[in-house]
Amino acid sequence: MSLFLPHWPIDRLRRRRGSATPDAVRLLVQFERGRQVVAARCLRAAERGVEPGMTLAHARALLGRGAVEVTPFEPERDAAGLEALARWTLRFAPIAAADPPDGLLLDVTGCERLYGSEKRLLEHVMRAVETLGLTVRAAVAPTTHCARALARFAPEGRLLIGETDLPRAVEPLPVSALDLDAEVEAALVEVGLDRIEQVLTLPREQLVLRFGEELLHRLDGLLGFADEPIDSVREQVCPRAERVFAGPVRQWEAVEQATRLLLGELAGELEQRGSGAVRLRMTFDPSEPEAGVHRESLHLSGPCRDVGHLWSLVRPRLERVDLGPGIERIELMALGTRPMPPAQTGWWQQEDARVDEPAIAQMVDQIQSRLGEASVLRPRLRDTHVPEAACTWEPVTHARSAAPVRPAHPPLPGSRPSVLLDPPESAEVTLLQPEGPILTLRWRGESRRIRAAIGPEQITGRWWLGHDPARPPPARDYYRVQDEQGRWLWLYRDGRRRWFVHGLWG
Amino acid sequence: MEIERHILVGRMRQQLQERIAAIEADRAIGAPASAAGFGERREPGGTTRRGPVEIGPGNDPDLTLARGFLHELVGLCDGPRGSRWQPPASLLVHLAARIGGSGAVVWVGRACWPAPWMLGEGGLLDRSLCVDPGRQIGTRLWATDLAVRSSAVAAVVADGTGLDMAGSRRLQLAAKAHRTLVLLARPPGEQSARSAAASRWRVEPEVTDRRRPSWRLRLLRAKGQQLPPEKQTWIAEFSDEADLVTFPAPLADRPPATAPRQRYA
Repeated sequence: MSLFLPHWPIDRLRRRRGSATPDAVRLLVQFERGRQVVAARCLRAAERGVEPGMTLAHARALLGRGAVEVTPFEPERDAAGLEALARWTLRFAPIAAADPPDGLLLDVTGCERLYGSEKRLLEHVMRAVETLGLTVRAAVAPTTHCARALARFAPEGRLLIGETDLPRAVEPLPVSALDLDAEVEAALVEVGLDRIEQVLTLPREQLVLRFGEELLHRLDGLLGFADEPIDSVREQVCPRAERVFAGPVRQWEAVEQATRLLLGELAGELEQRGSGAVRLRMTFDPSEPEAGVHRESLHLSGPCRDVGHLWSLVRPRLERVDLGPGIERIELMALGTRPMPPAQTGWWQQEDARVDEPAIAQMVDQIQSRLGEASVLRPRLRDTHVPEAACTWEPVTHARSAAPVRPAHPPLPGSRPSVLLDPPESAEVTLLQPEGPILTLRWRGESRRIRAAIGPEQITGRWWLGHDPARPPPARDYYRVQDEQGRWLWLYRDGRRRWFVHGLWG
Repeated sequence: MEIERHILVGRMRQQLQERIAAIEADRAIGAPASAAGFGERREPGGTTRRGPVEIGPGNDPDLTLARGFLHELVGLCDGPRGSRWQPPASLLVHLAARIGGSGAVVWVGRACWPAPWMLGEGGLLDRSLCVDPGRQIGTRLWATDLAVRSSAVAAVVADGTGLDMAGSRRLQLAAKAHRTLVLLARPPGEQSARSAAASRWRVEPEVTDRRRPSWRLRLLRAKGQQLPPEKQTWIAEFSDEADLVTFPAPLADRPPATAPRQRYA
């Protein structure tokens, strides 16, 4: 069986990221000789005449008004995703492989018995793939070459071909279905051989002399005289440890003890593989199936195989397990692993040489497992003058960003407050003259006289972000003011002459 | 052979360090070590050491709150009749940066998270972690305690609102055992709350003519340490230099140093 995913890069992206604007037209672009060129497009763009190889400007002109989402083309990620999808299809057939570009090959010999017939197997697979949100065309044929050609080039999107129908199904296909070198294909087209049936009318000896042996091999594959084996993907076996009890266990201590032992086994297996767990799943099977299987998942901020640390994360989760009718089986599985270089431990490590990453990761894991992933954040400075955009906090996840970005022109340390109010709080200000010095400030229900003011410092908004270029967002005038009690505040006046307190020095 | 010798020397060094650390920790709180003060020793050059509060020598003194202790800074009043308060963020950043090293600094509680552009001093931006434990005091205490006990953490700055005696004792013991600096920001209403902190400071805004934020730090108490009266009140000033905060004049009975005379060309 061959599956062909005509919009794989687009579908993959849509599946992974979702879409902020569902009705937007999606384009994937890559750089080619300094130009942005369309590499893939969604169905709606194809309807309006956008073709791969066009420049982005040309495509935009064809699409006219309306939302267009442009994303960089990532062939490596597409290939990796295809491999993962091939592993997923191992549930239908024992042999499956990615068939780049944008295809999958499955050896379904004998599998039809499980589903009743080949037709039902084909329908089942297509439905499952479509549930993933992917556009798919599929064909079942006696050989891989043939299935591949039919899935990609036959007018119908779903085909089931037996050996007797094979020549009839193959003959109307274009010569590109032979998957030949571009030169040979061009040579065939040059002499007017557009379709397979035209090639088949010629004597084989002449074909070899004119176009090479490869053409004959491909023709034989297509007609079912020769087949090629599929180099199947292998299922990734996660490190796991399991304990099955002789009968239902209701003692809390026994479950605790068994889980701890299993963690030790799992850590041993991880050590043999030279990796650490980043995702852990615990499964508790009750003795009575009606009670329902209890599952707990853990995410770690970095790879880990330290039993003590894992236990400190697992132990609180155990308390959620309902022992009710008794537990019969416990399974621990490291669903996600990452390579973990053997660490140099011991006395010659330089103390205080750098931040102790494993210890930090352990603390972060413990806090995140109790309070959620968004509970531990890292302060970050962005390279922008807009105060609320410059100060950000990003979650500490295992996909750790390397070096933080430093602003090229950081603000003077004294000119920015120690606490930024988000959102800014509105205030009332009395001025001596329309543009004159600030006299009083009323904020948070309290009126204060102003002793000193420094400013204005004008900060302009980001005019290049979506605003009308003819009318840039108004600038803000910032003042540092001191009230009579000596407290310093950061005030600003916006374009509509309203006043806000944006921060304070504490 | 060479490696074995290295191992031996390394072990001996470690044992020695541990013993010294243990002796120092015992001396720091409570144990009278000299006649100069309770648990305090004056060193040549005028440096005051071996206590929760360390003061640099000479005419350019600086204030350091020592590692292994719990320090409380009672924050600034804000809002009508003190209904709101503000942690002394600049001072917290400065004191956390002063202890040096490369250990992480953990900020527990949204109230005391500083704006990221404040964290330039001492490379704090790269080694800061901000923890949001929610509103419950129990969770906040648990997260603070966890951070204090981590071997990779050099300082913990936490929102200490509503912390009771038992909680503060737990933090003080953890700080002492792991040699971590713990700074607690507390609201003005809790100035007289019972606590096991080694030192407690009151921070108030100071009115000056130097056109930059200034604060008056008053030492309310320092356990096991007696400071001379002139070192119990400090004027701290927001600075444009590498250090976020400077202490232009450590004296209570004198106004801070006058502003430099402006020159006109």
